[in-house]
Amino acid sequence: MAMLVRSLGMNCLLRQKLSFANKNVAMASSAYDEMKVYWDKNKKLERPMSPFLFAYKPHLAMSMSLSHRVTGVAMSVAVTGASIIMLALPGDYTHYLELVKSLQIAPFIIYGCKYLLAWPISYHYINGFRHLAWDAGKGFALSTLYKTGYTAIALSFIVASMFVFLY
Amino acid sequence: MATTVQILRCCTRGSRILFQSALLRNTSVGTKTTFGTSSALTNVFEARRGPFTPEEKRGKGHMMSASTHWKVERILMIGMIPLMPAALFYQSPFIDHAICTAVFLHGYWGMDGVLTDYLEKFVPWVKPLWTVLSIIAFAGLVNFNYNDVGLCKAVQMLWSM
Repeated sequence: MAMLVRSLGMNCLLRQKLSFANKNVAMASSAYDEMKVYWDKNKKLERPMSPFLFAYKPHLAMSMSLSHRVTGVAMSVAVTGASIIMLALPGDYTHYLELVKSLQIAPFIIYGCKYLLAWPISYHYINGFRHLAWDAGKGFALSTLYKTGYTAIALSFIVASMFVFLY
Repeated sequence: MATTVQILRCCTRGSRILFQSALLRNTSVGTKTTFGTSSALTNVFEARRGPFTPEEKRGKGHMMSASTHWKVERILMIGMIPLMPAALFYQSPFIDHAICTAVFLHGYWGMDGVLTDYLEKFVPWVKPLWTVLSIIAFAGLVNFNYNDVGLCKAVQMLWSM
């Protein structure tokens, strides 16, 4: 019995030195390679991912922040795309505007498009004030957040309507 | 009795070995440049997610520190606050150029942040692509202001539909 325990101790516990030393030398791959191995294996096994974005019920702060980003990206892409297209196309702006006017688009479609153009600008501008206030360190209390949030949404629709109907 | 003493000795020796090898493992991985087998050229197309050297963490490859960049972004935003209503009341080539420059810079930095947040880790070359695209777009805007009707006039004409 004692011999058994001694031989166990000799073989298992004292041999650990070797295996640990081996592990040290084997780590020559980069973090990038290891992550790649992880993702390749999991994609091949088709394992389900744990819920990460849609597990939360959308609340006001999250939706407004998302809309701020989405309107910003949409406007940036629109301005960049429009100016690159204007560079590439042969005629000048008046010519293309006449082309669009000659299509005789129905008034409600024109109003819809004007809203589509005006609302992102007004929403992004008014929400930008909230963002600047947060950067200055003010207005983080939850009640203030919700109050300013609802005010910003309402104001953005009012200002967009002013653009569409008064100009 | 002797066996238990020996087992205990093995345990302490084992834990000491564990501790020593943990130290060894940390130092060996840290000093080896474990950036994989990719050369400097392929690094453009391979998103680097670490480990990062202390110089890189202090912003070695960048023109200015991140906090200064943030400050410049906010100064531009505060400058844009009076600019947008001014375009409603005063139309002139100066306002055209001011709005084009401000919107271009703001949009460029904003999209930069969005791309860094979501897309750069999957597609590492989007940032240079976005830079090239937005420079072409700015050229188009300047051309529009110079050779064509100009931004304020264009919006007026569009809105009169």
